[in-house]
Amino acid sequence: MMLSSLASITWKQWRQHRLRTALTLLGIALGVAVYFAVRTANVTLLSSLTITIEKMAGKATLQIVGDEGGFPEAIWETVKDTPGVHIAQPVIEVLANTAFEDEGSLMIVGVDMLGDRELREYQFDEAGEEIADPLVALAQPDSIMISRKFAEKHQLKDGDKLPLFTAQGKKEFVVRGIFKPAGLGEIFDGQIAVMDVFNAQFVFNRGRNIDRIDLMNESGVSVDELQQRLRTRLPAGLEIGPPSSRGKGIENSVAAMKIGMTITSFIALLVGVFIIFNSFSIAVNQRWKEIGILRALGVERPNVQCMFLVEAALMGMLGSAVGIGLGFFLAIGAERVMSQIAAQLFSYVTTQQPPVFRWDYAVTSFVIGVISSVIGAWLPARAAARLNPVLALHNIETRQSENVLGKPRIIAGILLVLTGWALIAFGPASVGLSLQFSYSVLIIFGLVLLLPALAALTARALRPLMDRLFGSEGVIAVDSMIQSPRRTSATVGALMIGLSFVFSMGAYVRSYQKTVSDWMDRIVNADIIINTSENARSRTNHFSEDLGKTLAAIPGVRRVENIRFLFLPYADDSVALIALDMDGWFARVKDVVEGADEDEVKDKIIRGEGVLVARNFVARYHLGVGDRLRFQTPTGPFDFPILGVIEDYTSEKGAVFFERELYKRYWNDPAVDIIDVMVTPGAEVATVKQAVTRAVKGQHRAFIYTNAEYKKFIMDLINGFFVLNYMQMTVAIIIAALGIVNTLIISVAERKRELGVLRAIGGLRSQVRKMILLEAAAIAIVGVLSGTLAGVFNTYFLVRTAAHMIGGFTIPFRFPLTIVLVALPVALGIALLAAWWPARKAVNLKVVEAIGYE
Amino acid sequence: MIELQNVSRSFGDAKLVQALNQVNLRLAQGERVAVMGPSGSGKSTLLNLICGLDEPSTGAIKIDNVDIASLDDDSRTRLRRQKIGMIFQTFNLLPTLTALENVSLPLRLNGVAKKDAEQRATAMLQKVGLAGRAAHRPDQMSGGERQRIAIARALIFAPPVLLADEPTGNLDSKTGEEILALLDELHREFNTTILMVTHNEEAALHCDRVIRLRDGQIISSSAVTARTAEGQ
Amino acid sequence: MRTLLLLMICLALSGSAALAQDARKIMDAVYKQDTSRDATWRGTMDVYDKKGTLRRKKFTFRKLGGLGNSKTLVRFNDPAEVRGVGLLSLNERGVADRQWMYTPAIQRTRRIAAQERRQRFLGTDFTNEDMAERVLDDYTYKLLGEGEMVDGRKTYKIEARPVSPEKSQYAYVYLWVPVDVPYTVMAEMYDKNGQRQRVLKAGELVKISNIWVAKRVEMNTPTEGTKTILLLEDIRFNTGLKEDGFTQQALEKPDA
Repeated sequence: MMLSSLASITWKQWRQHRLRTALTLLGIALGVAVYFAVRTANVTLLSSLTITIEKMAGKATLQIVGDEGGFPEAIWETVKDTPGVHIAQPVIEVLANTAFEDEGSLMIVGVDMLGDRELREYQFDEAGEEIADPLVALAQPDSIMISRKFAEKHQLKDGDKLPLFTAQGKKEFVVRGIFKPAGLGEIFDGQIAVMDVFNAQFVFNRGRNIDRIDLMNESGVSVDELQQRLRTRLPAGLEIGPPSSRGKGIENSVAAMKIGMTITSFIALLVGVFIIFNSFSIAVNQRWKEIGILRALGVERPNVQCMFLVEAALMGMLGSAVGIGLGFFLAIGAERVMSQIAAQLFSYVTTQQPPVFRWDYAVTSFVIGVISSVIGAWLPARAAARLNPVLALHNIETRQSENVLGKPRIIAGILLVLTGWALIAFGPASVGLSLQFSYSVLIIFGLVLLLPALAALTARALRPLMDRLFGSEGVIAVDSMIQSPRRTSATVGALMIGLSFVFSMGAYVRSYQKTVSDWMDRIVNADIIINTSENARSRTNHFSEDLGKTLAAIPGVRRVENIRFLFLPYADDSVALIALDMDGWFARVKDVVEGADEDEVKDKIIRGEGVLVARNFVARYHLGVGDRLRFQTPTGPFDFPILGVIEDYTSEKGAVFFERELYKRYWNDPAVDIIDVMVTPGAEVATVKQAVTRAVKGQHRAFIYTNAEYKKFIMDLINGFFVLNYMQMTVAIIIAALGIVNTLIISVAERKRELGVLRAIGGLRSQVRKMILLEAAAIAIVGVLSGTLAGVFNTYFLVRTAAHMIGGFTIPFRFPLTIVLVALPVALGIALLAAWWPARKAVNLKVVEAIGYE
Repeated sequence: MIELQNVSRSFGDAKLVQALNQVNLRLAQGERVAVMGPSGSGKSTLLNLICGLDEPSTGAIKIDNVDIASLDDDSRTRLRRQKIGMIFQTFNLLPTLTALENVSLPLRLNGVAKKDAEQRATAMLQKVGLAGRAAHRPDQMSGGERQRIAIARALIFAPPVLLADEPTGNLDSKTGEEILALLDELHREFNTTILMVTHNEEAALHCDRVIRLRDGQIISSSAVTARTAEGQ
Repeated sequence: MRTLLLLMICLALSGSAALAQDARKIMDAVYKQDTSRDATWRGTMDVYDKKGTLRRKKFTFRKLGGLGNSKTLVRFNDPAEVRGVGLLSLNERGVADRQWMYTPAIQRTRRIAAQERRQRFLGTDFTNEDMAERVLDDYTYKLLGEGEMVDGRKTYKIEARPVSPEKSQYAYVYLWVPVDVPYTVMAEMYDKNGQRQRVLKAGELVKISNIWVAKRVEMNTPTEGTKTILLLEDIRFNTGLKEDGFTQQALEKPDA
């Protein structure tokens, strides 16, 4: 009936304005795509982490996991003797690197080769297993069983030597079996090997510790029941649960990433709303005559509004559908980056999984896309409905004036901004991040309300400048911006949000980098630092203390300090533990301890009478100097006072520092993760480094840095994490650019007549092009200005709240002046690029048609 | 001044619509010609061709002995800027610019310094009697005033040719008459060649000659004799 | 009741001469003919894979106790890779077997878990089931014929079916016992599809301390073309082995 005939009008409009329709759809699609991609990438990352865990667990119904140092094998005996346990199998996992040219990683699973096979069937396809001489394989600790794929890749056969880097340095293993891997081997793409767990303990210097126990319950006992039973029998500090539950801890670790990505996805959606709003505002403006006619023909106001809203909903549906498809592909890339970060920073092994298409996410994204579209179209639709039909049918100069610079609006905007700022500045920190995030949204919303006024103000300010610099083209360009504050502010809004995001992210990244770099200057002061991994650390690859002794004998080496760096479970999360030679450390740092007398703390720490904790740790758990820190250790409870607080950015989970000897005593673990080497005064660091490298080379897989190199390495790691942020920035910029294209194309379409007149009275094509480009530039300038403003607020939010909430870090606020200065030309460039196509369109305008003789 | 030789213009893929068919026309310097005819007779096409916004399918259009069909777009635009002023039924002022800015726009587009351009525009506004409205925007002015601004803009360069497309079409008869009187006045001052498309017989009376178009052809061309008697 | 040790099969399947007509009686005699309190010998084990490659291992074998209640200790001494590796197994009636392995390279003793029946024992042609110590009542017996010549001896052919078929990889086993010596000189094991899975031959029968024992035992896996040959030397019975020679401490002393 009426609506269907209106729908046909809509359809014709879409066909007639294909480009506008396409851009609008793209706007929605991008917003939805980012939203969907973020959620999908997230769930894919988690599922690939979880699948890895699950596949590694095989048939195990329960797993017992300790902290990174593993736990004593005696636990295994207890577990085996627990009624209801059908099979219990000790496991050691070692991610080693081959000493072949590619230094590829090899996942070595240590299992009890004489244990029950039932649990590890998943690892080996029985039919494909070939162990020529099992007795020799067991008797010789260097025996290793490799997958057929790996064997073929490196042309290894039974009895061949396989050089690997281990805690004892480079070691040659002997291939004593080849197996066809089932599930697990597939996950690691064949980069998997199996050893006897006890041989692995020996070879990898694990003492009598194991990493994990996989177990199966007896059929008469439920998993929950057995879990309870084990809980009461085993020491605290061991995690007992079904393999699937281990994903949780991982989820915790990658939470920071997740939050960042989620914020991006909301921003993408917000920008999507702006694009819709923009398109529809323009559609209404463009179709004022049509609306006038419709109204004159007797279409009621609600129906006009309905027509636009239905149109928006349709657009939303189409755009969302496209967006979901697009997002799925985007997710692949995002997941790749995320899993790389997971590997580099959290040293989680993941296996590339195809993205998981979640229907519930798709439906949510779809609904959100449609709702966003309708929200975006709401005001324009209302404006359309309120259009005065008589005026609408009249002439060009009687275009509806846009009264958006009203005082109430400005006051509301200012109030929102102030409220948001006040809440961030003075609000309690414990209300939860989502609520805190809403403060930032409040500010953004306020700025959006202020945008038309801001745009108009800036444009007025720009007018004389543009006049002087670019003549009447400049004036016209600025004017056309002022002429439609609504259209302009929609674009500027998209640009503002995009840029503010870029600014604040950039500022945040910069502040973070600067803070960390300052911190490292204070804390990292060894001359040469040797790491076990090219990542921040390795969960599985460690040095032995012997290496330190070897290094100490090198001429020019004054002192060698061993450091253990691992994560321990703490509360419901984990905390970084750094066990180091406190004596040596304190000799090199100054004024680092907060909340206590440094000299006093120093003595106690060196004697192993307490711990130092990171500032973010005390903030996170509301602790202070004098509070006691408790851990469950393999030898019993660890219970020591916090002696002092230090500024530290090791982990967003917080860090605990204490004397290495104390750690060794309680954890019974002599492994070394980082070796600090101090050079004798006068000795050349580079020379010593060469000597160290020579000593280590070929013997250990080690990464040797000078002080400066190490700092750079850490900064590079941090920057790796920020790749995600850069991705987010890129998305923001693309969307903002899309907004500019959209606005300018529409601006060109809308001002067809004016452009025609301009050409008719002697404006050259080049002048028209210049005008459009200048308009884009003007929009960019306004965008950068408002973006800076919003960005400053946002940065304030990020450093003040988000960093604190996510990482517990206190990062000083730094105004991102460089970024703003860089952003201006960049934004101008992007704007000009985005304006190229609309300008072309304007230039090729058919003047005769544009002027429209009647 | 203006010479059309065997000009034809057809539209559509198969050249089905013959908007102008073998038109020959000559306008002498200072001559005022009214083009009349029913809708679709080819009046607008004729205007577009002369101002170089459109190109003839065949034939030549010469302005000051230059065949504009042989020029590229930019050259035609420059020619238009120097030699042809245009006014429209719907005025076509730029809504964001003030009267003064609208009038000075052609000068500025031609690279005249802002100060000079505005001086000349002010003088021009004085001539059309709107000196006091210089800072106003089109939507603050009446239709007659807008058309005066448009005329001022068209003549700011003192072009030898003025093309007018229904200059009184959107105005009431009194205001229309005032505009025509203004054109007369300016014609006297600048001796502009005027080609005016109009439906309005009254307006035609302000011209020296009336040509009538039908189906793309000139069906008559007659001198206006009663002009002096009725025009003043 | 299972035991680890290779030789057990020989001993389990050996027996003294009995002229009984009844299959069960014949087998009862086989089971009962070894009356020793302890046994010691040196063994050579040759394992041929399907390509015919030979892997030879040498070891000493000690056993204390009789059927269903025994302790054994095997110590490998050749080749170098396995020198010192020890296997200790304790069989007690009514209790699950317990087995340990000691590897000198990492100086560790570890428990060997119950393994799957069909699995080859340490890469030999003996499956874990074959290695298990058996008693008479584990099977029902049927005399199929008499007079077939094996290794120049006239034999009874007996069909043995496991009492608990679900616990065995074999559906039935044919046994050949000479009419004049209570010792299983040949056995063929068949699976549920009637496919012959393994062929055991015990040859070079000698009588030491009044106990029959085969000095050469060969196990064939016809389906895979592999075989394991066990040669016994220096066989001695009742030399007075002590209990403390069969403990984990003893296992961890490879030179003892």
